[in-house]
Amino acid sequence: MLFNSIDFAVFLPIVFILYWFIFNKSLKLQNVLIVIASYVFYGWWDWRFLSLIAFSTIVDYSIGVALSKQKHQTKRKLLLWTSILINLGFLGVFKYYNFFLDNFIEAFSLFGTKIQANTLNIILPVGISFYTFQTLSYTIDVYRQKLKPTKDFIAFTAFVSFFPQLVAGPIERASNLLPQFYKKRTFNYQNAMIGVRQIIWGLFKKIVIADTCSQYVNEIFKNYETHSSLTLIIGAICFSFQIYCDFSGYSDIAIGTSRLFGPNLMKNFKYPYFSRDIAEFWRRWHISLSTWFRDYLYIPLGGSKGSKWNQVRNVSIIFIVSGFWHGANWTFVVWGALNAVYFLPLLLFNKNRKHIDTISKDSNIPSVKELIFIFNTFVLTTFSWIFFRSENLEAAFLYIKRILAFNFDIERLQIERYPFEIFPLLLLLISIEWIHRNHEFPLFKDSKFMHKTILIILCILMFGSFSDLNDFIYFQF
Amino acid sequence: MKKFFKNLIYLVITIAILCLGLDQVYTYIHKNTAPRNIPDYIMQLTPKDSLDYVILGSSRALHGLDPLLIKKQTQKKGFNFGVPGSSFFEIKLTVKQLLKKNITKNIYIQVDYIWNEVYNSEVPTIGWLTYINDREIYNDFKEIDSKNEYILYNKIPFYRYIKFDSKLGFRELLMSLFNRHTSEIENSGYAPLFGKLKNSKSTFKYTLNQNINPHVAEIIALCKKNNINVFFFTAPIYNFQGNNTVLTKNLTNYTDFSNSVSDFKLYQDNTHLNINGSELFTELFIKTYFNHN
Repeated sequence: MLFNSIDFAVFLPIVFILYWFIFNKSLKLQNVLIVIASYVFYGWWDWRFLSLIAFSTIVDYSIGVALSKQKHQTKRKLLLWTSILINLGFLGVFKYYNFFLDNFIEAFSLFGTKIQANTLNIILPVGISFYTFQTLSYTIDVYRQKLKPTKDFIAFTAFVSFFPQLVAGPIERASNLLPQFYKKRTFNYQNAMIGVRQIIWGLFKKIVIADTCSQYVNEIFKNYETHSSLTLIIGAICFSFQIYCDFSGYSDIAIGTSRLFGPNLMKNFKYPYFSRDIAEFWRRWHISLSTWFRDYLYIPLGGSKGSKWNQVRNVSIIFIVSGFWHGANWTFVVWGALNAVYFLPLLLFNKNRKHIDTISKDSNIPSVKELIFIFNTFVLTTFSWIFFRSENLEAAFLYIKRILAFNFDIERLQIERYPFEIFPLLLLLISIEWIHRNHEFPLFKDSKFMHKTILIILCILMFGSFSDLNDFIYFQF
Repeated sequence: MKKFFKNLIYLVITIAILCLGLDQVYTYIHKNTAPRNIPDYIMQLTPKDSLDYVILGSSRALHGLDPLLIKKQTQKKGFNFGVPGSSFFEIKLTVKQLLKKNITKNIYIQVDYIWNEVYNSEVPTIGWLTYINDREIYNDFKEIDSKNEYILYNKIPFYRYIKFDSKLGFRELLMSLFNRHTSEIENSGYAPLFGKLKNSKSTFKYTLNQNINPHVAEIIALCKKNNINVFFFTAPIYNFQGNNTVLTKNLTNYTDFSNSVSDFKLYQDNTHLNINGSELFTELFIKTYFNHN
């Protein structure tokens, strides 16, 4: 079920009314409704894959219980590895099987050996990378004794399948979300109103910015061989905004929807395009994934302790794995590696924590220095997004090669628009975000009559791209 | 909770008012500023815009006949109202409005495999949605509204503009306000194609239903009632291997040009002439219809 669909517009009020008026008698009932609603939400897409979530839930719940009873370290480790292998096994089969097989065959063919193997026609279950990471974090935390294993199966099932964040995050930690399913929720007016406004803001980013940008991006990336450098640069810029508004828009809708039911989810984006360097960008972009990798991969590898060489190795691994997490394609690996290349000089010169304060805290106008820093960071990330968006590495390199031809002709696109027509909308987004950069999201605070919210609704009605409703990009990951 | 619902109701009412207001504004602008699509253009015609003839049909009419060339050679003023993807339902809507405006006495309609289409095609009807609150137009839509879509476009304010924002939305509105016509409207409806058919061996075939298309029957009856001359023709098709005897049998004033252009260099694809092909076909059209007058 898409957040920007009529189905969800019907589903959400029904669940909301049932939750607060019929199932509000006890905590158990509220959690049961969340589980039912979540399974309906997920099953709307493909009910067959519900068995995967159910299996993952049962495995990690059972392992958690077993870990609580087991004192023997080797057996505890064995239990942990069972969970890791099962969860990553699902990912390996559904997401990476064909990729590894193709590359295996290609590697052998380089040595003159031909291997006969058939790739499988595998459908990637929506959100598998998100919920497997979420359940893994639970088992690892229980193993590390940072979290007490739950004995409430329904609460645990609700934690794994909680529909607002099930298919594209934020990837919640058990330590944050699970305890919220232990407490009976009472309706909080303030929190619910913030939730409504956050949903509206998320819809604005998705329908007005991301879906409009996608029309330009699809046309430009599809026919990059025929476009001028100027158009290709605009295509890359549009994709930077498309991916940001698509994904952060989804996160805003997810967090806002969750607020309607009580649980507070973690923040996933903090105005990343106002970052002054790549390190700051990664503290503001897809925070739930970055911190997941930090806690469960980077720190176990040694983190920032040890020699510089070890630090460089750890950072490189994190970025490459993070790239690979996005999909079974070398383009994502290169995207991750490129970000590592951007990050490493900051690490080597101990500048990676230089920008942790709020940008232009006391002024509404950034200094020239800040503007240059923001611009540089944006250029670097936009460049790396070319790899992320391209079909394959060859296409990405050709795209860049054509940009370097420095042909600045103004063209008309197949979509009956000039490329630069998108800029007023992007300017609108940047202005709104800049003015509200110290708030959790721009509509976090509003007047009694919700003037700002109504203006944003007006923008959605007038500038929204409703003709071609698109899936959220991160559903495919 | 009461306060929350009060706020939600306030938001819903505000959205409803916004939709009502926007619907009025968008409709007004579409009706009164530079037309960007064929329905807007037709609805803004006045008796002083009278035309010697009009051409109706699908993209095969649109890309095949150039009224400016006809005017140059015959001094006859006309307009090509061909719309890509049109079926006879949309053609009927156009004919009805043209008759209402009383701006021409001669209507030329391109007919081919669209003979088989009884329902409308979504894209060519989008332009008409601006006028769906007109009872007569809505009644026509009601007849083919098997999915109950058009009732929503009629009853829910602004829904049509949201659903088809790329065709009727803000950008089109802005272009209208800035008096930016489409190139088709500036060229009396004609839009040339510049490609060339790649495969000279490709063929094209269709089979036509024996029964007369109900919309065609209605068009003929309407024209007869209003003393309008209606002519049907089939535009050239490259390597056409079907036959149009059904059309010859059912339509008076029918001319079959399907095999009249045989050079594959004059086509963009099997069913669409390119700019050179359309020039040749327009001359053929002039000879057939206008030299006899």
